Amino acid sequence: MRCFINFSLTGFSNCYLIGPDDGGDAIVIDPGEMNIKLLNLIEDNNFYIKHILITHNHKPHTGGIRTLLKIYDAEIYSSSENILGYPSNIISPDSSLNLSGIEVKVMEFSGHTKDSLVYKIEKMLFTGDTLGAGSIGEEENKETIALVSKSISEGIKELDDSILVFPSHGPPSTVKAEKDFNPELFLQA
Amino acid sequence: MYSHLKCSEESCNYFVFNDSNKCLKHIDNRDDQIEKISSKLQQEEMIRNWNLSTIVLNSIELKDKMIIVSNFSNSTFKNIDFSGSHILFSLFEYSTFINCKFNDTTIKYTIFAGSTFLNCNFIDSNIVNSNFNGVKADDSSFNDSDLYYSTFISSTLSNITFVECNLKKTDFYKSKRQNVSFKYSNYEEAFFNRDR
Repeated sequence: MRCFINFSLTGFSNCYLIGPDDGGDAIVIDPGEMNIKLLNLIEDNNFYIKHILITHNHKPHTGGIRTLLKIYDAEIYSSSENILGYPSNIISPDSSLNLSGIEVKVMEFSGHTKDSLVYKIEKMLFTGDTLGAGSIGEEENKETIALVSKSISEGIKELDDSILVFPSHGPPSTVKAEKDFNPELFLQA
Repeated sequence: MYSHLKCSEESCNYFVFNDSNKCLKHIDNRDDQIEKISSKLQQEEMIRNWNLSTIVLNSIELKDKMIIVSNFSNSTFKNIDFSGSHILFSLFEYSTFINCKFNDTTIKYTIFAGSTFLNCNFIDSNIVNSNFNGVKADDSSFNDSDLYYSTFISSTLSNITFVECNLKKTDFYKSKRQNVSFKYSNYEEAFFNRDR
């Protein structure tokens, strides 16, 4: 399996492209914009975008869907009924998807938005805005921060330390680095 | 992507060395293997999908390399010159770097979290979207570098210079800083606190 990161200037967000080593049906996670770099990554690796996973329904994570759907016949998966007016397959936390042979575990660490989902594919965790390298998603007040912190802390506690964390904004991390250095985790509610 | 398999030695939690079933700490003929790898690293221009977790490298030049999706976690680097290299999407977490040069490098989406840097230089480099959280760095320089969207959260920085750097969206939240210079850098665009 191959995984690529594409930085989008729309919302300064990371979009992830995942597909088989030798090309074929692929997944895009949070396409904030469809730019030439992403198109080249898809085509140069002989990928065909069959699945679009959305961590939550905000423009920096969805802005590229319209163009993507003009090029590829892809299905959208999220916790919403529709994204930018396009129908989406509603997926719920603690479920699993088999997307063209790629197993996706759907998880939920409550936080950032009510519709936020986290996706685990093999040893990679795509956390959207819920968990970043050394940070958690923006919350309104200290109480919410503590609750969200608790939910994420419990969510990652059982995960293998070597799992790579891929957030929508900023650098990647590992579960071990988040447990050791994220000052916003393991706070007391 | 490099292998995520763990060493077959009981209770060892390190990654296997390339295609073997043991990590570099427990592999047979460890010293020979490290010597071979060390010379291969110097010869190859492209280092892609390599798994060299726990390697110890001393006094070699790794200049002008493409290091892509490779794992060097829990490793030790002494007197290594990475200058001119492109390091993308790679893992160097919990490693030790002593007297290393990363001058004129491009480092993107790379994880150095939990590492120690002593007398290391990252001068005139593009270090974008990279993770230095929890690092301990002493007597090191990032002068003339672009550190856009890189993070130094919970780090301990002593005698470090960030002179004439782009620090837009660089995150120093909860970092401990002693004798750190941000001269001629846009530190007002970096994050030192969480404004909620």
